Parts: sequence; C-alpha cells; structure tokens
Amino acid sequence: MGSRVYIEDIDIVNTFIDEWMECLDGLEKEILKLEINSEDTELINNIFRRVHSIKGGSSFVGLPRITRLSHEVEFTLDAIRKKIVCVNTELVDSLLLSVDFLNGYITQLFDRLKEQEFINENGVTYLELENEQNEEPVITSLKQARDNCEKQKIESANHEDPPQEGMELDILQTEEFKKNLAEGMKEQFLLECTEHIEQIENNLLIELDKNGDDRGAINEVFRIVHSIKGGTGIYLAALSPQNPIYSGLKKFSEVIHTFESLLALVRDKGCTFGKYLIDLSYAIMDYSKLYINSVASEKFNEVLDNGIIDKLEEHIRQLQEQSESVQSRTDDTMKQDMTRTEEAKLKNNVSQSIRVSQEKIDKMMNMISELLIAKNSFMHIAAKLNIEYDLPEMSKEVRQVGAYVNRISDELQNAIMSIRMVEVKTVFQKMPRVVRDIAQSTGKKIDLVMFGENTEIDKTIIEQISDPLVHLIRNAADHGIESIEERLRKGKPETGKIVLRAYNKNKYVYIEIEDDGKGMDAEKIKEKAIEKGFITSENAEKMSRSQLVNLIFLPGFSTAKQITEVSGRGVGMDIVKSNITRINGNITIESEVDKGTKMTIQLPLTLAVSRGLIVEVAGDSYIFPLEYIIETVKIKKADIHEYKGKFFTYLRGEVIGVEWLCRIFLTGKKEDSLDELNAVIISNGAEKYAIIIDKLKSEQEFVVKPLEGQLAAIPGISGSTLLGNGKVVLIVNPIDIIQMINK
Amino acid sequence: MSCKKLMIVDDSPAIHLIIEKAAKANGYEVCAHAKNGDEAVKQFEQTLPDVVTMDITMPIKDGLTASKDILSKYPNAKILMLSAMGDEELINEAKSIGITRFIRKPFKGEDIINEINNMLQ
Repeated sequence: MGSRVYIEDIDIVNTFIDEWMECLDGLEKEILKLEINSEDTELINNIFRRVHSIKGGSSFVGLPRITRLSHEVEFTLDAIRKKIVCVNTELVDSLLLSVDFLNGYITQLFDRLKEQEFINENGVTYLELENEQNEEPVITSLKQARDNCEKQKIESANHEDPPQEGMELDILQTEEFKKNLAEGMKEQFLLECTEHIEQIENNLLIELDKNGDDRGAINEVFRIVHSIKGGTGIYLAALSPQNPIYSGLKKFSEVIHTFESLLALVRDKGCTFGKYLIDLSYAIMDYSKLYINSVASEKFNEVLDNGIIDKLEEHIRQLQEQSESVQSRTDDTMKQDMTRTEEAKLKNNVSQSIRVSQEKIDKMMNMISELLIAKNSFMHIAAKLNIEYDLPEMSKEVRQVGAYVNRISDELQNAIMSIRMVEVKTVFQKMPRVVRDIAQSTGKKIDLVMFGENTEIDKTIIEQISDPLVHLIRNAADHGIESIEERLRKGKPETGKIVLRAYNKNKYVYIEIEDDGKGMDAEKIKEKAIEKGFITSENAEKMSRSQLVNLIFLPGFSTAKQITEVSGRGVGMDIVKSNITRINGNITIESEVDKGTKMTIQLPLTLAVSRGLIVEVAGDSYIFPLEYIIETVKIKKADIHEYKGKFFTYLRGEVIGVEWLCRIFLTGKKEDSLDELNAVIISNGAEKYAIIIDKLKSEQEFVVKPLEGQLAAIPGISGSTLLGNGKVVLIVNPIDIIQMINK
Repeated sequence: MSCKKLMIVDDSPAIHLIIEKAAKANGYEVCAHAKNGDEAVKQFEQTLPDVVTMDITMPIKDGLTASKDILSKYPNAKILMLSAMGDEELINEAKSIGITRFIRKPFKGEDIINEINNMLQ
C-alpha cells in the first residue's frame, strides 16, 4: 500500500528528517538499557523526548503512520515512567520493533528525498511512498505487550492505580483532537479520491471498454476502489458524528463499499466487464466526483445518487445467480493477470517532482525577463564602444563578457522554463472519456489514438488549451465522424478514428486533431460566408479552399444546423480561436470532404519570452512577433499594382495584398523614391499580406510588457518592450493589422 | 509599529525553521533561539522578547519549568505554549502557572502568527 508525503517546504522537511535520524540514532541501545534498568527516569525521559520529537515532526510533515506509532510508543513510555506497566522482554521487543519500523520508514523517506523525485500535480508536490509497511501490527504488538505488563504489575504488586486502559483511547476520542485530525485529513482524503477517480475514469474504464476481459485492469479498478474505501473509512473514523460531513460520507462509503463488492464478484467469477458495468462504473465515478466536490466546497447539499446502490445490488444479485455456471479460472490465466498488472504499473510510471508555488516561479520568470533586457544592453554597449568611442579592444572585451552573461542567462532561462513545463498528458487524458461519452450517446464507433503525450509545454498554456481542445475533440467526435451506416455506405471502416497528436517542432509545440470523418465542404462555407456578408462573392472566388475552410473561425460565422455538413463546427470556433491566439498560438484547418478534417494548433513553448523581428518605419522601431511572419522579401516597386485603392503584388504566383506600415499607423506617407521595397509577409493563418517597412533591423528575444490604460486599446499594437539600449519599442499585432487592412 | 521581537524555544530545529519563516514574513524579528528551557531563561533575560513560543518537552529543562522561571521574574512575559497530542496533563499544569495561550502541533506558519498577533493586541 502506498501513500503520499506532501511537501510544502523542502527545507523544513529536510530539517525534520535530519532531526529524526538524530533522534533514532542510538535509540535502540537506549531501549536495550531500559531492559536492564527500567527505573532510570533520566533514561526514560531521554527516550520519551526523542520519540516525542518524531511524533511532533511527523504531524507537521503529514505522516499519519509515524504519528500514530510514535504516539503509541510515547504512551507506553509514559506508562513505564508512571510505573503503570513494568518492563519485560516482550515490551522491549515491541518497542524495538517500533523503532525498527520508524527507522525503516524514515530511511526510506530520506532516500526518496535524496532522489528528489517529487511529483507535482496541480501545484501540489508530493512524494509517493510505495510498498509502505503497515504500522498496525507493530501497534497491536505494542498494545498487547503493554496490556500484559500492566496485568502482571497489578497481579504481582497489587498496584493501587486503577487500570488505565481507556486512557489512550480517551485522547484519541476527544472532540478537539478529532477536529484537528479531521481538518488535516480532509485535504488528503479529497486529493486521494480525486486522483483515484481520475485513474479509473481516464484510464482503466477506457481500457475495459476496449477489452472487457482485461483481468489486469479489473484487478486494478478493484484495488483503487478498495483504496478509496480505505481512505473514506479512515476519514470517517476521524470525524465526529456531529460533523456535517459525517452522514454524507457514510453514505458515500456505503456506495463505494457496494461497488467494491460488485467488483470483487466480477473479479472472482471471471465475468466480462460489459457495457452495462462500464456505464454503471461511470455513473459511480460521476456520483463520487459530485460528492467530493460537495465536500471540497463545503456545500453539503444532498448529492443525488439516483439509486446507485440499488442498481449495484441488483447487479450483484444477478451475478450471484449466474455464478454457479461459471467455471473457476485456471492458474494459467491468473499468472497472465499478474504480468499484466505489472505491465500496467510500468505503463503508469508517473514522473516525480517537487512542489513549488507558481508565484515563485513566475517571479523567477520575471527576473529572467529583466535579465534578458540587461543582457541585450551588453551588446549595445559593445557596439557603442566600437563605433562612438573608437575603442575596438574594449568593445571586444565587453562583447566577450556579454557573450558569457548571455550563455548563463540562456541556460538559466531554459532551466526555469523547463520547471514550468508540464506534459500534455494532463490534458490528453481527459479526452478518452469525452470521446466515449459521445460515441455512446450517438451510437457511433470511435477510436481515439493519442501520440506524444509526453510532449512538454508551459503550464499556463496547458491550462488555457484544455477547454478549446475538449471542444475540438467533441466536435470531431460529434460532427466529424459519421454514423456507422453512413460510414459503411461510404466504404469506410465502421469505426471512426480520431488522432490526437502532440509534438515539438522549431521551438513550437504542435497539437493536431485529425479525424477521418465527413470533412468540411468549402463550397457550403463559401455560400454561407457570402450570405452572412463576411466576404463578397468576388473575394470568395479568389479564395483558396484552405482560406475558405478557415473562415469558420470568424466570430459569429456559424450557428449549428444551418449548414448540415459543418453543423455545429462553427459554434464556439471563434472562441476556440481567440483562446488560442490569446496565448500567442495559432490554429489552422485542413479539410477534405469525406476524407476528414485536421486541425493543427501551433503553440509557443512559453508565454514570457517571444522572438521578434525589429523593423524601422519612419524613424521609429517596431517589433513583429516571429510566429506571424512567414518570410521577409524585397518587392520591386514596379510589381506593386493598385486596384480600387488597394495594393497587391505577385509573390511566387500567388496574389497577395500589400500595405505600408506607415499608412496603417498614419505615421507618414509611403516611400516612393525607392525601386525596391522591404516587406514582411505576415499571416493570420488564412490570409497573407506583405507589409512594407523601411528597414529590417534584427531578430531578437523580447519580453512583452503590456500597455495599460488608454494605451491598451491602440489597434494594431499588442504591447511594448525594452531594447538593450533602453529604448521602448511597440509590438505590432499582425492579426489586428490584417483586420485593419481589410477594413 | 516597531519590529516586535520573538524568541523561539524548541528542541526541534525544524520547528524553529517553520516559526522563523512565518515570523519573518510577517514582520517579526526573531531575537533569540533556544534549544532547551535553560537557554530559554538565560536568553529571555538578555533579549527581553515581546513574545515567546515555548515547546513543552525539551531536554535539560522542560518548557513548563522554564516558563515558571521566566514568569516569576517577568510576570508580564507573553508565552505561547506549543503542545502536542497527549500533552493534556501538561496543559492543565501550564494553566495553573498562568499560561493562557496554547497552540497544538501540527500548526501552520499562519496559525502561529495569528496566535502571536492576538497575544500582542
């Protein structure tokens, strides 16, 4: 059985461990001395103090096993001190056993801390302790030894003291103690349950849905449900019946218990985990989640269980009736199960991590951003020394120092960025359930295949991408994949396939959602867009298929049902798009009728630092974020044509719009004297424009400083940044720019 | 408000760390660290802290005796006693010598700061 050690402050945990090691050091010897001289108060006090320290500390770190056991030892020592019990070999043995247990446990913890393999989940850091010993037998032996000694004492010496058996129980039962304990346990209970439920819901039930005879998975579900029951039981015991949670928790515990019984039957009788069971399990998981939420939010509304217990019991009865006919399973398959469970365990190997508050990391990230600016100024000074002061030697030196600082800050930046990285798995694992639910309700058959779950991305981005991704997957399953009959009619395999893929490429993370469903009809979209007045029919004729398909991202483009082919796909697509662009991401669609649709989301690795191209227009510098730049080109003036006040040119056979940045920002007139013009080609995914600027300066990393107040609303500008020379530069927002040109 | 001085008395360095971190974050100055009751009494006289957090079970001199010694000389000393589960008898004893504030282990940094704030009001 495993448990978790939550680590709020690693310094404190380490200090505690050091302290315990010190306390345990030589404790064995002291206890042995006790056997010879049980009257030595100094000795007993010394041992008592050491154990007391461990008890106190363990309650801080959250090691209930250690707290319980050391409390028991302490209580025994106190009894020895008060001469309530006498010391005999049995008692010393069990005391030594307790010390062994403490030693083993704490050493294990110490080793694990050294490995630094912490798990970080939702901002909570913990250490997973597997194969944890159970303190219960040790405590029992201690109690027994104490009881025996007590009796001996009373019998032999006719001691006057009344037997103190109930005393330790009294302490454990006092209301205040219970309240404190319960408070501490609540969080742990909630966390554990949530994780257990997620594991069942997002992993095991999905496996079982594919293969109802996966004994390994069935065993695993049983084991986890058993853990939930255990956790609930412990929490229940810590609550006083007056507590508002108590009655609800009791009911919850009953549901889980009944579920466990059902699972035990399924497991032992070798039944298949069929559809009905899966649905029932999902219902129970949903109910459990509701219940957990109600406890977490402290709103104890009666959580409706929709007669779940009755359903469970009914199913148990059915299983019991048919059980006689089922043959018991052979050892062979049992063995197979074992290996499968092992495999499953290996598969679910969770990476370990440390828990640090996000605030701290954000602060570090901010500092790094400042460092970046400082770093850029080295290069600036070096250039200045060379050109303005004519000190090439000096300039070289400064440049060297600059390069050194540069290297360090780069590494630092990478290191800190990697701290913020989390695997996309955290979002991906929600998807099987989403797909399954839709497949279930629409009667389709859908296979979800996921790749690259270990791809890492900034935590803030993960949080932002979760909802849009669920939305896209739901769309793909609901509207993309056709019904079974339709698929068969089209000669496609009965089961639809959705591929969810994440990978790294060129400093970006890409997430692709690809289905082999009906695809989108560009013609229908075109009609619709014209009808809604988003584009004119002339424009529409010029647009490529991909441009047309990407129109669905326009706000208000579609409401479901009006175009059956893409029904629903437009709903919320503009929100998906705006969510993604907000985190500097981009989404594009490729779709072919009857072949399927592929959505590609491009995401930056991090939000804090971007790369951009510095350009100069009418004497002012601007930065174009690199992710929107397709290329930079030189365009001959003669190649720019005017048509109805708009400009365009040919770029490798493609007609693209041309605009002058100075005209957009009204900072000057377009330059006419040059024959060749510098242009930055930008794109919002659907359209491309050539933006004419005066000078292309350099590519640089920059830190976005948002503009505030009245400045925040300037169209075409998304923020500002500082250059190495201390100059403030405006960051161009290409998406805005394209919209401004279109107007 | 001038910086209030705090003395931490505990045989566990980790507890010192927990309290000190919380205290510093809340504008207290930790003027003395004592590992046992004996040191506590000596350091109290030297630094005259505004408030003391006092563990009960400590080597050489326990927290109760130390508190008694301090209170006999400085009856207005403000002592917050840190108790653990099972210390009920000791708490009663502490109450009898005039200690009124207790905090039960395990506590969080903010709990102890709240308690200290209350005591200083």
